[in-house]
Amino acid sequence: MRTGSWLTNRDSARTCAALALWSLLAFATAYAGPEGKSLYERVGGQAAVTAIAGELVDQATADPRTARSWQKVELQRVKVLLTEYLCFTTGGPCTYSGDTMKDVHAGLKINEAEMNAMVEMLRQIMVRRGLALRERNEMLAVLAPTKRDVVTQ
Amino acid sequence: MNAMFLRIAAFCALGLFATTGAAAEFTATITDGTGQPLRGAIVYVSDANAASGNKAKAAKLDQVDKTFVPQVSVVQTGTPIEFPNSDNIRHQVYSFSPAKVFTLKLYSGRPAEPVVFDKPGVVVLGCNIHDTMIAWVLVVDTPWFGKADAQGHAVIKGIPAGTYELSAWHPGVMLPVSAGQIEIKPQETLSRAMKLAVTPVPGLTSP
Repeated sequence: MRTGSWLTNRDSARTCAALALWSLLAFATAYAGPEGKSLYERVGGQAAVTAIAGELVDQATADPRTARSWQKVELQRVKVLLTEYLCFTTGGPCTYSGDTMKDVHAGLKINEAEMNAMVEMLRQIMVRRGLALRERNEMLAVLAPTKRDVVTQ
Repeated sequence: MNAMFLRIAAFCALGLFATTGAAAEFTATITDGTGQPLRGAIVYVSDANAASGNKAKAAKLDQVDKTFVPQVSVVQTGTPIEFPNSDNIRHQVYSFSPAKVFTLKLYSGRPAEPVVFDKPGVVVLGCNIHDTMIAWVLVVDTPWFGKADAQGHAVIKGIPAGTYELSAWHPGVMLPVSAGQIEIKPQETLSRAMKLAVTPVPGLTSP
């Protein structure tokens, strides 16, 4: 690119395109490990996040420590939305179509112990699925910020 | 003591008002196919020729302990229904019924706009989040309707004298069932026994 020429229309369009591409790449690499693969890919892609979401919901509804807030809840819908959420937050090719974590959990009065129990369940599921420590930690790190919206008690 | 006096006074005033008008009162006793009182059954009288006027007041359909309260309602066409959400957790009320198709997201501590039920018909409501929640709203083109109590008694007050079409409905029948015509005379107190053959309704726990 010639110096100063970026003010012309054609060049500025080209610059913008390059900038957009660059920021897209920067965004993608933010979610990728040194191998260039996103956490989503490293945990096993769609099949893995679907299985993790499904197992987590099934376990949380059965576990007396967390069953309380799941009563009468349409679980299939939660599994679909949680799968979208996990896919999206781990850098997978999904959009999350559900409500915000704050709206989803508002009024449920979830306490720290309940949240910790869920985290423990998730950790066990990931161990069972043979995920390495690094992926397990990254997954927990990705989900940790939701705590401020989930725990209200 | 004072409150009691006021209540009695109000009751007397209401009674006086009712008897001074020319309006009649109709009581239906509704039973199912086996002769048991049919709680929640709706009875209404309509006159296609008379301008009954729209007396539609706002109605309420609450969400309490992940249940719709009441599960069965009847409103006049054009009635706005409020969904106050006493649960204070999230609900997603929806209907696919042709008489009113809508989705209403209810959030904790955020009042939602009422939904106007603007076409007559049966509207079945559910909740996307809690699949056991179910409610029925019968929307009718008349302000003269009543809902049966545990004894099967449905009372319609204040009906002007005239000839009406009598109908009954319950979630256990698809569409309202016509019970022929009735003649209402001024200040009359009329009773009628009605039978409605209903099929069992899954999810209808407190009609």
